[in-house]
Amino acid sequence: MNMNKIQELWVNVVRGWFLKEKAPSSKFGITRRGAIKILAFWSGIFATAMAVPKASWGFTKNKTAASLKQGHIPKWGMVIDLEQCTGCGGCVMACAQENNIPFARHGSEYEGTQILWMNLINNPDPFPLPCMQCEDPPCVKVCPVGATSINGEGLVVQNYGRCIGCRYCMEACPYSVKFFNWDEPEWPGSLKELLNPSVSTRPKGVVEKCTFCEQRIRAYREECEISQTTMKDEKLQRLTACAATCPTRAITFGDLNDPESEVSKLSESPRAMKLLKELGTKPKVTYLTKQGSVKP
Amino acid sequence: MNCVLPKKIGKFSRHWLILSLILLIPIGNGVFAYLIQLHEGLISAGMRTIGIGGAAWGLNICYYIYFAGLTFGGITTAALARLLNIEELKPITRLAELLAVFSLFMAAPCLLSDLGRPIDGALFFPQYGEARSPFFGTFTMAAIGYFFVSLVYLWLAGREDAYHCSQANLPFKWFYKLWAFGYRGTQEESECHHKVSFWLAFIIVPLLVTATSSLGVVFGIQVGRPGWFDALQAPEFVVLAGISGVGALIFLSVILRALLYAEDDPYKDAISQKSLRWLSNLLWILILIYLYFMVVDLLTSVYTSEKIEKIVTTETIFGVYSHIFWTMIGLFVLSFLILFIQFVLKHYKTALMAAAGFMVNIAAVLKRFLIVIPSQTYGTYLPYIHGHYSPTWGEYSIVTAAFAAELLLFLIFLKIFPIIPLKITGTRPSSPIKPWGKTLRTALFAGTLSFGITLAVLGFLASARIGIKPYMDPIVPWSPVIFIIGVMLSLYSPAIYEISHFT
Ligand code: SF4
Ligand code: SF4
Repeated sequence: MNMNKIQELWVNVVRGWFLKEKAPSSKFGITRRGAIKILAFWSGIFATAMAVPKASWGFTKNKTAASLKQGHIPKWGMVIDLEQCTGCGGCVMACAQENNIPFARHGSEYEGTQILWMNLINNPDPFPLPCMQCEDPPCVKVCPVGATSINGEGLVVQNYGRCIGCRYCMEACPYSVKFFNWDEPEWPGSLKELLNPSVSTRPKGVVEKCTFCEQRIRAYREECEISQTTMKDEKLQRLTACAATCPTRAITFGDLNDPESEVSKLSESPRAMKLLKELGTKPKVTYLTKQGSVKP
Repeated sequence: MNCVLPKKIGKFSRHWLILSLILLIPIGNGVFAYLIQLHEGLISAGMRTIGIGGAAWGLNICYYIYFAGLTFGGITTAALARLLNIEELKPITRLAELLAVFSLFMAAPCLLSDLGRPIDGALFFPQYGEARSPFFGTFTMAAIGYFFVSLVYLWLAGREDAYHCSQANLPFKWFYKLWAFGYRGTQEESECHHKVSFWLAFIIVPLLVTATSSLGVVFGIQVGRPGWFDALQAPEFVVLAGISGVGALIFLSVILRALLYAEDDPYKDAISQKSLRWLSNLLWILILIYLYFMVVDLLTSVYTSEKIEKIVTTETIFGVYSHIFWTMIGLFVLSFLILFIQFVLKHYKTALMAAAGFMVNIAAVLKRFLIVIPSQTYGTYLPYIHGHYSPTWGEYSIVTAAFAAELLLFLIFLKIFPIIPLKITGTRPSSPIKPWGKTLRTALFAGTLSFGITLAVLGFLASARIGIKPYMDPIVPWSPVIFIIGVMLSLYSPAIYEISHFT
């Protein structure tokens, strides 16, 4: 069963039960009754599977154990080589596509409402700017309801359902990489069909930001768990949408807790520099300054 | 025991009705603007994303701080009058308490209308509020705590007058009886009330200072926002809140004296020149302290080597915000000079005092704008384009509606309750409390207080996620509510003591 089918099944069940309506465009022709049957079938499989002793699965409940070395907790980080960056904007586009970022709209009232999880500022050279995924993030400390928090692998994540839209985290982020949905996001016409089903869309009134493509990390980990392999650094390096798209390979992603990973090695480069490190936020994004340039 | 009621109590004149109806227009307009904002989202406001040309907080936050400041000023004046037994301030204590309660009524919509999802805010904060966030103090202490303490004060201090109103030939007798809550104006009750007022004032003054400081901390601890990150934010907030509160009190007292009591009203001169003098002298001292803070602050940021901090300061003093800055300074200095010269010459003019009270309030609003906005539009460490913020019709409408609603509340109150505490003449009857009654009321007081403190501490610890991993939901659901109930019970315990008059 592919992702679309699962998503449609879910939409059918939820809408059918709670909203008393059927999902639009039932491409697979699943009715509510059918959806419930499939759900019941898979629930049975799931329940049986849970009854089987964990050991026979070949991996424990600790999800990182199979995909990474035993007991290893990754620390996801990114290195951006400014020498390599040409400012093509590919990372910005790929990020927007991957993460269902709404299109910027025209008109003076929309100025300043753009959402850019990956921003590209020119100073005067291009400078890609994702969330720094700080280890000591000011945005998390100020959130009054815990809608922005740090997950088990140190990723600063956003719970859209919990966010009350106070925008305090936007004020607190020294990098200004948090964005508010000033109005209801829209995807005109058929663009709606291009939405990524693994990433939720956000309603008006909530704040959002880069998550280091958390959904891709999750999917890769699940893939490794099924094939009982470990996560490979070669794959991790280009795992995020921005890194995968960058034509000059200026962006490298990976596990900073793995000293052998590319991202760890690059972070030790003499050209390595952390943005606003004097503020004590401990960013997990490292920049490699241009050859011969003085580190700011 | 005798007392005379003000002449206009319970009489709704045509002028009063027309004025009230006029005030309904801006209120309706504000509600309409808010409904549009709810429907369209905050795009209808002038705020935008920081770094791509905007400021994420705007007028609503400025006015939230302003109204919370008025509350602080009001309730602190009322508390100090009782704590230090300042006779001159006693006639305006009720006005001060009302200013506190009504201003907080207006602060709440300003804060709620700033939220992207106000309903979720009202639902999620009570459940998952994080004590670590400076907003915790803002939402609990500086909003609900302020409101409750002001209400308790207003209620207790008004019981005697409510009793006398209930005895007079007035409509809404049930209302006065409910307010009086068993009070009969006896000697013992009156003594008990003075004792309770004193101790309540003793406790709440430091609490109020803490709550107002928590508003300053919202800005002061933002390491990433030059202009905000400043240890002086908290004390500056306290002093500025005092200035706007005292200024508003002077202005309202003068209006009240001039317009709302008829020439032959026994309360016409109850707010004496002495009361106004006292307030105006307090005001120039507060302005002087605030100007001192501002100079220290500005000198530090002008001399700093921190580039962005300098940009924010320069833009504020000489750049795009200079007209607001110099108007604010001009108003503060002018008000100070007016009040100080009067003090030196020992010659006070009511109209000038009222003008100064009004001007400091305009200056306080402008100052709040300068605290909130420039650090967002010019205070980005990364080389972003500079932002711009100008409030929209919707934002102005909401704020205007808040002012109109506050005025309307004052107007309504004026007609149903004496805004100046009644003058009681003659001897009071006696109602000695039973010996067991004394023990019982002490036990009730101690029980409520200790239960309240326990709840507050437990609620706070649970909200602070003590003993669990960070980023988890509190182990005790609704812990912020437990905290605030604890605070409310603690503040209510003196009231329990006062109303438990077992004879
Ligand atoms: S860069 Fe900003 S949004 Fe990202 S973790 Fe740090 S403070 Fe939070
Ligand atoms: S906007 Fe949302 S995520 Fe940000 S601080 Fe407020 S509630 Fe938390």
